[in-house]
Amino acid sequence: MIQHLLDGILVGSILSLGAIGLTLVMHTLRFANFSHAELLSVGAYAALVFDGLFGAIYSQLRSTIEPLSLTWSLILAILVAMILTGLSAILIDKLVFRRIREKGDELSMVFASFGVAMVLRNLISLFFGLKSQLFSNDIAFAIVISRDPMILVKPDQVFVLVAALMVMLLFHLILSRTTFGYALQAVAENPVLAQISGVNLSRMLKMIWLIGGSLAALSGIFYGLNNQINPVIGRDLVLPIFAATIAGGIGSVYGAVLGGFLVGIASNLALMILPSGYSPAVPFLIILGVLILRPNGILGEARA
Amino acid sequence: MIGLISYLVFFATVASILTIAVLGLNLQWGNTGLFNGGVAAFFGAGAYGLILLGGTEQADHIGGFELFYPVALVGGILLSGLIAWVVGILTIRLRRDYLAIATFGVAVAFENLMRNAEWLSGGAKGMRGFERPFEDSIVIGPGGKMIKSIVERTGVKINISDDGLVSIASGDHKAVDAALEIVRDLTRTVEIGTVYDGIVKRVVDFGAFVEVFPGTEGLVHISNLAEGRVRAVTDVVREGDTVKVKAMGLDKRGKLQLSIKDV
Repeated sequence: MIQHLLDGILVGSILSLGAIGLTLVMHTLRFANFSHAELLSVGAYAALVFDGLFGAIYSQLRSTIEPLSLTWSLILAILVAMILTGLSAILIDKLVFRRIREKGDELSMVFASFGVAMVLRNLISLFFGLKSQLFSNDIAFAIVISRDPMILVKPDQVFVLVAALMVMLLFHLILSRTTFGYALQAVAENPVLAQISGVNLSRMLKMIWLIGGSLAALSGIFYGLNNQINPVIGRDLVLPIFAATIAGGIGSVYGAVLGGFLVGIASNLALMILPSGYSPAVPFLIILGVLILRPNGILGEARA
Repeated sequence: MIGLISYLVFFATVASILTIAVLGLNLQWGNTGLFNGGVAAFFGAGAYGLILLGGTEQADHIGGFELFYPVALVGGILLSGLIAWVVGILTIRLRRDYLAIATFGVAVAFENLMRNAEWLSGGAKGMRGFERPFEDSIVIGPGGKMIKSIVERTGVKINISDDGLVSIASGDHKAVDAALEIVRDLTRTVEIGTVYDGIVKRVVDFGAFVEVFPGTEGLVHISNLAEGRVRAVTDVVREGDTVKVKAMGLDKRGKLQLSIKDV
């Protein structure tokens, strides 16, 4: 029970990071972006490449940070991967979504996002192959917290949870304490009104893609640290991330965080009564349940 | 040329199959504006329903009602319609973008369910025990060509009853034996669940190709080489090795799946 809860909180923190970007994009641009989860794979693979690159250039970067299985080169690679993934999200918007925004309706955008997701996933499979990969081949030993009930935690998992919470706290401070944060909230709330009030809309949209993309990258990297990296990370996580976003209420950053933990914990607690193969259906049930009972999500507001 | 034509036939078949699904989507999305991201799930539900109702009994999953093909076909259609009806009740009043997400979720959830619920669908191995209704027996051959050729070559009389029993008659013992040999060679197939002595023909990243008898080979996937995780195929088998393999079934493309682990 406690083990499942801990695992759920960990998965929840990873999903939350992915859901923040999705909720911002979905609320500002008014479309369900099915390609958002693919940015998780982009981030994870970018980190994998740069981890290897940095390690090859400066061999002392390859030393691990005890007691984690993380290396210094991976820490650097995470930062680079976040920025690169954010930039690729901007690029995808420029190449695909902006063009359709100017001409088509919201459903055309949904379709385009299906297409973008398939292109990204297959490009990654093409370059890196379908085989699962790991950031580190060292075996990370779990620490026994208690024997009865049996509770195991890996140092890496503690790192992921703490880092995810710190990033969320940082984002909260930016949102609530800075002019930029206010402008971001204003754009998410009502893009037209924000523009009239003197917010540079196209710059803010770029920032939203950048932030959404980098948080997605971080989410994908953490998922990879916790499990393994393969080209179908996005396909596996698209439903949980949507469930988190919808459960929290589209447009609500705090709702996305709450929804992420809700979906993560619910999926893991479900393992106690369901065989593990069925747990992917849990996010779907959450989506249906929330949409029927509270169509605007737990923290979301109705919008015109 | 034959290759091209048979490819075109294959292509036209797949195109017509997809057209049927698209007709349904057009009715729904085109005429009523209700977006459906879960068509694939209903597509699958129909196929699973057909085999569930029309297939023979299997040890590893439910079904085995052996209904007459057209009846099973209608049953599969109704089953898929029933699922769609329930999904419709739950989702039809949602806002457009939520409807897109929820129906897409149906497709993802259906795929997960079918991949994992082995008692229902046979899991990733898929369902067995259903014969393709329009395929001729290989002993008869297209338009009886094969049976005629056997008769011409050996001078025997051949009779094949509806349940597949082949009777060969002739005054000459040698002719009967020769005809029997031809029929046996033709019908010599791998029996699922039987263990064979095979020869490893080729080793690839994901497993080893093993020949069970001349002309018939199957794949032992890396996960079926041995208990536990196998790092490299060559740790377990090398080309030219003789190994005992068990025939597990056919994959989606009709390729034979073998296992060393389950012998």
